Amino acid sequence: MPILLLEGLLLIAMIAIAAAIILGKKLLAATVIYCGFSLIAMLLYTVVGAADVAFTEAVIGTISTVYFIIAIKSIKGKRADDERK
Amino acid sequence: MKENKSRKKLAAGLIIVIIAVGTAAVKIGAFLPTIGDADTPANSYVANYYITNAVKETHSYNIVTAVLADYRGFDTLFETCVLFLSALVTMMVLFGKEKVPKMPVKNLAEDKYSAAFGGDIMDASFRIVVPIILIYGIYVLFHGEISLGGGFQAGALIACAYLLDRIIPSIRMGRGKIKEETALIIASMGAFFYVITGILPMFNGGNFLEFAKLPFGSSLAAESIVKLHTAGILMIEVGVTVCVMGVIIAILEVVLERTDFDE
Repeated sequence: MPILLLEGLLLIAMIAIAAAIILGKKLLAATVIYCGFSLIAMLLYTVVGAADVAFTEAVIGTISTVYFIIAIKSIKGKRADDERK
Repeated sequence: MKENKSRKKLAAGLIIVIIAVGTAAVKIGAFLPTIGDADTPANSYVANYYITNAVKETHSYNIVTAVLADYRGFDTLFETCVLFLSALVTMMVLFGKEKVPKMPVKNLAEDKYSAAFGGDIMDASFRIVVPIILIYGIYVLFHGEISLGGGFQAGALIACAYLLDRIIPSIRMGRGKIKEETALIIASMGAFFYVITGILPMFNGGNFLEFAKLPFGSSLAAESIVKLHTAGILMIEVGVTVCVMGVIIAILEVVLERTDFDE
């Protein structure tokens, strides 16, 4: 199966971003990087030709990031950030 | 020191997993067919029918919308129900928790820098962005048959506009907010509208979700049947939009009301 160069680059970027999310020290930073993961996924869907899915991914990526940020704010009292360090 | 060691272990494990999965994916990927190949099973049976007949039968130039809302309308109905259930369960889990009272602030300028999200730039830019997002949401809803999008995306965009307005200026001012119960009722109304669209043809002698028997047109000419299909798709999209919007707002409000931003 021939993989386009652009697809390969996007996939490598996706792997790098996923590793950065797991290894990152701060929860908030990981959430914002996760938004970037969603962006790369959107570009990948566009390259493959699924424009509708890409559109959904773009909108839902934004909304889920906001949800994650609110969730982090609401568990701050339980020292989630400290446990992660 | 100890933290560093565990982190290094995690990184090493991660690299091993990435290499193993990557090698396996490349090996297996060699056997898989090319994306969009005409000979693959996915493209050789029902997809051909959709491509040749969808535009003729539904006047929906975006075949994805035609498949989702017309040919596979029953699936989409239960997807909408699953979304509604997710909001319902979130409310059931969190409803017993106590709300965090938020001090209402009369003048935002006094309190701008202690607000949870915000500041000058956010406050100025969201005023420009929100109307554009709203208009785009409506556009996506009504042009779902012609261009990208459809009910789900439109609902998410409208909810996105609400979400921006809610978290940037009015988290402290408490104005213009929808109660979580109200949002859930709105979501249920969207799903209800979908089901009503499905039931309407049954009064006219059709099956559930059979748009050709919608009681709007009298003549049985082929053209009017196509128009009925278009009307049915639009009604379903409106239902999905309202449901998705209500679900996203409900989950947001449920969590937001029980979050303390002041620490």
